[in-house]
Amino acid sequence: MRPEKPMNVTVGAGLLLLVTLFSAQAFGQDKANADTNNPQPPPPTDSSNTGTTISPAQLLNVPVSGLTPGAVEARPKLNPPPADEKAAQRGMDDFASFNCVGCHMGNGGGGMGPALSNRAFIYGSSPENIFLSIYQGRPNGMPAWGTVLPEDTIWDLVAYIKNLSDAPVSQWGTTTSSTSPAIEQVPSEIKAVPNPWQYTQKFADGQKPQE
Amino acid sequence: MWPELRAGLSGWLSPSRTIWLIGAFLAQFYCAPARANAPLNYLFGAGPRNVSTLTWGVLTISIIVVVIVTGLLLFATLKSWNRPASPAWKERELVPRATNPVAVVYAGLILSTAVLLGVTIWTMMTLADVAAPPSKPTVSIEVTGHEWWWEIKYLSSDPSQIFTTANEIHIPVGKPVAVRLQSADVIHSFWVPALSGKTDLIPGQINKTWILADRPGTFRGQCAEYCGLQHAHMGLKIIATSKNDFEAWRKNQLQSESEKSIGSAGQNVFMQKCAVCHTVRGTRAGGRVGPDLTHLMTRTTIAAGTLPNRPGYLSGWIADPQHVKPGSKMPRLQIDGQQLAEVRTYLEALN
Amino acid sequence: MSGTRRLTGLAGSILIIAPLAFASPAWPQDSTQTAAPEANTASSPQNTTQKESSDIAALVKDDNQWPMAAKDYANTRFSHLDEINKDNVSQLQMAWSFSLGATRGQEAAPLAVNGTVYVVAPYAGPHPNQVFALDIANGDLKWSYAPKPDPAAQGVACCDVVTRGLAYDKGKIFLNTLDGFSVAIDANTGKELWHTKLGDINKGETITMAPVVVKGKVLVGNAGGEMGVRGWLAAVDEETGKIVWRAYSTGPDDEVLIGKDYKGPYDWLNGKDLGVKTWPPDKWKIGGGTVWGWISYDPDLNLIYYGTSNPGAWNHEQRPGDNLFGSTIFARNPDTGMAKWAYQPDPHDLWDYDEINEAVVVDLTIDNQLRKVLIHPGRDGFMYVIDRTTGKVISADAYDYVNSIKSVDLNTGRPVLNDALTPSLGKTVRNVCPAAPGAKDWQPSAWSPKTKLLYVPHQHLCMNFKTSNVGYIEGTPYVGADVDMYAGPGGYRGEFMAWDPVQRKKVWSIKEKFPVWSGALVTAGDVAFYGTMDRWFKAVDANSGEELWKFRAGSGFIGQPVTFSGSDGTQYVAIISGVGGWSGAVAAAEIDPRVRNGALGFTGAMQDLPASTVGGATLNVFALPKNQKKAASAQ
Repeated sequence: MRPEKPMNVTVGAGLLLLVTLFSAQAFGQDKANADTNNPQPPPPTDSSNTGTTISPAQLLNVPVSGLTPGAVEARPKLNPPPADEKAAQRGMDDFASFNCVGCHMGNGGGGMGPALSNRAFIYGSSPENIFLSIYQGRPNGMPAWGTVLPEDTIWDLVAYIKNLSDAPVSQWGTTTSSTSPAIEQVPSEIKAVPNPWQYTQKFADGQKPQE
Repeated sequence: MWPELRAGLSGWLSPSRTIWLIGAFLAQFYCAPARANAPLNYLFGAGPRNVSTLTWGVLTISIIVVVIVTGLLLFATLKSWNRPASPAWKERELVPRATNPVAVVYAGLILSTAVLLGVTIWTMMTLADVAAPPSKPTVSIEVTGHEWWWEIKYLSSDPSQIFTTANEIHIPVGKPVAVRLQSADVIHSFWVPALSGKTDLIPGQINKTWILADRPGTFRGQCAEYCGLQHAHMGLKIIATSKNDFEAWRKNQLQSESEKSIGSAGQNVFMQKCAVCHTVRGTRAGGRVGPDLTHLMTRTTIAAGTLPNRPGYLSGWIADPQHVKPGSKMPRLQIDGQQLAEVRTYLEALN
Repeated sequence: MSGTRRLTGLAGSILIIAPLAFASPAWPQDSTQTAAPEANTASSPQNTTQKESSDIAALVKDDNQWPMAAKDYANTRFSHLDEINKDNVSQLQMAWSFSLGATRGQEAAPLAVNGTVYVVAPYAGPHPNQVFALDIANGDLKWSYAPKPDPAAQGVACCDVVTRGLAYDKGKIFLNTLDGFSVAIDANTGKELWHTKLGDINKGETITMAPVVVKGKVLVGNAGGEMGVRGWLAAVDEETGKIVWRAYSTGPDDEVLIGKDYKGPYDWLNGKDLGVKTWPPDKWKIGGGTVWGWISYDPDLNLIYYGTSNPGAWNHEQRPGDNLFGSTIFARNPDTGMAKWAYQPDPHDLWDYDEINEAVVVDLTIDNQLRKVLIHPGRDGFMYVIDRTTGKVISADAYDYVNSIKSVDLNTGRPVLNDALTPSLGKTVRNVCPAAPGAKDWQPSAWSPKTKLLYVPHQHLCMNFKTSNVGYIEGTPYVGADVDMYAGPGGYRGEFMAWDPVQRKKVWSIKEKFPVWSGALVTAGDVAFYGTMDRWFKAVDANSGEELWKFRAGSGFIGQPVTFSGSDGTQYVAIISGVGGWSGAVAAAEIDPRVRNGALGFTGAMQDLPASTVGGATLNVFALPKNQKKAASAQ
């Protein structure tokens, strides 16, 4: 029976009160007080510290050589951390941060150190083998990174290296001639991505690359 | 219940009381200085005067406008509301009709336009004023935004006077400081509310701004452009001190930490676990992934303003940085309690 | 009575035998020699019965010998031998060859002293850095010496695991191992005399240069400008192996050995502690300036001349300032190491232009005045003629296509840079010429006093360059750049040319498909020799550049040709073939030719090299056929 106007005023006053209380809270709470800890739980996947799933004891059982006496099948079944896109991206950043790029060069082309861009891995190509090569170092010049890097960082690098070595193959061996190789990678100063083999162009024979 | 409430409220909420309520609400803005711990308050800054004046001026004008408009609105509403039971209400006109209603509209229009135009001109004048510093900057810094910390480099034409620090900027009082902004990864924004001038740090581009503190003090800054998981924990501090104090701080920062003077207690742990990411100038540690830790103990906070720089917090941070700043690039290191204590001792010697 | 007779007999025997014991028989030059000195003894017995001297100061004047990598202290690489001349060189044939058993880049110059040829192999194979002594006439292996360098050194050598040669003085051979040892070996027996550790691979240091012996001191410099190493040149006493002095290339004056005698040729090279002041605080400690190239010496002025590498971190924005004394040419007193002058052709180097190239000591008549100069083919593409008494630049002219530097201001000695090509963080600068290895890298040129021309083997490359921030982790690379090299304008990648330093122009040139990464040799027979990376060893007319002879070897050439003569007067020309080095690493090491940025960007320019050659290690020794020699000597 009554018209709506008084209701509007009540609602309006209520809203005003609400806004006042809210602002008071906003002004009162000191977000900048450095004594607060973040109460929220850690967010899921992007953290680089998911915790390694392979124990040192298991790693010790990974053979580096292709020969096992008695021809036994001794390679343990291990569960390395997943080598997903995020891990490869982190690995790419780590590759530059920790100077891997200085010896193995951009996109793993090789230089002071051997190429990581082909499928040839002197000390084994399984993720565990690559992990151990980085962690322990190797006698002909690979530093022992396990002394300074946490394991999760090394697993990220393994994920990136898997991407780097994912070259397209048309045959078991490698033919080198005036017509082979026929493709080259888009160089890293043009395109810097975690999976460089996705971008190839015609082999330039030492001339300026096409752009 | 509602009718009684309405009746009681309507009786209590007279126009005068309404205006007092609004006034009381607004008054807290003016009482802000009485509140402790409001470091991001930009109304009582130490930056350029004309910006503060403009802020207050526009705020006051806005409030006055709000008051006037609200007052008119309430007057119009409550005037008819005050006599709800009057039988003659139905016949009354809802809005008192002026003799020339259009004149009111024109008056309002002209007044609003004049005020807005005035404020616009005033704003433009202030903007032009702060486009360049009032005098030639004596100190020049380069700020590089990282996820989620600030790399600060003090520039100089003499290369041996260039040094890098992190997250805390010292400036001399009363002198403008030129700031070059760039980003190492995504877009950040450099914002120290008390000193005004929010400018983005954009990758691939160098932005320039300047800051000036006209009184000594510590001014908190914050990244003002969402930049990832720990955007909220990307704080910044600007400490304005007298010229002599600034010079003393600068000379201290230029000194290298000698490997021998720091002592070997935690040095081995630091060189092994921390040096790949952090720099301590004068030692073998030259990593650039994380902030430069040279003279770490001269800073008041760590982790870009997230924690105070005190032993307990330092230990807690090193022990589990992912708990404090999950997603940050500092990993959980594999160190035990003994190593933690040693490396903390080492860091505490970085004066 | 019997006692007296016995005594007489004894005395007589002594009188007869004693002189025999004290007489110095002709020491046969083979390893079955019994009276070999102990490892701790000082010098080995001198070859006193032979007429030849064993003193390097005398040997450098004897054209039958090739006693140091650069032939003589002036670094001319010129021989007065003229049995082989432009008329008969087309008859040149292989006299003997020797395989060093270790592939990878063969950059070393063979030495020939008193009938023995000495060669050294790179760090490869079962016996890395092995030294061989061979008979000059028939190539018999007399002895070999294998040091024990640390395998991890392979991980800190930027540009293949090379060594550029040996040195000789007073019956001793001096060797530098990749992992930083200086070793003295008895030249006759191959026994080790001393070994001294000079560098630390955990700091990223290696040693690749050929040592030089001056006044009884072995001069050795380190390598590692890409590893954030602080560069130095050390003098080691040749008898004891003790370090006599060490001059750093960066740091305070007392460590750079700058004292009262020093006077820089220009204002900006004079001042106190410039090796600190021209760097951000502490950056000089990882400032590069290594000494991995050539050292020449002027005995009259008693000054040694050498250049230093690029300053540390290719990303120049991490080291504002002139960065003294990286990319600098030093003149020092060899007795004390104190600097006399220093000139920096590339202040605040932007593109990895080391300045370790040879400084050839020549007296030239310029503007009707005889000047004591150094001819220094700069990495930056400019041919510098520098007054070697003061360090002032007399002339500087581009000897190849250069767009990174517009000119050299002769008043200030500073280059005028092309600002459009200055690298800035994250931005890819394209078409920078010359590329990072410069218009010419370490491969040494040769000077003929007969033709008065400098014979310059070099490359013709341009590059894309993109800098990035790099952290310093000791023992790992400190570069901060993505590089991609390719052929320069014209599509060819190498050139062998003759340059007139007085006329300041190119006289003739031969374009090659690949960079000419071998050294040059020129003789009084007016023949110049050089090798190409696609396995050709060539002889050309020194006056006209006409190709006179060539030989197809087993592997590409990056080594240094030398010439010497045997005891019967036969002239030999020798060079080690075996591709590798910074330019050839893609063919000799496990490097992927499809990834252009490999080998610090060199892969981009050499991707097709593996289709022409792979690694090898052969010492090739050439001579005229016997009948040709008779014809030559009959003339």
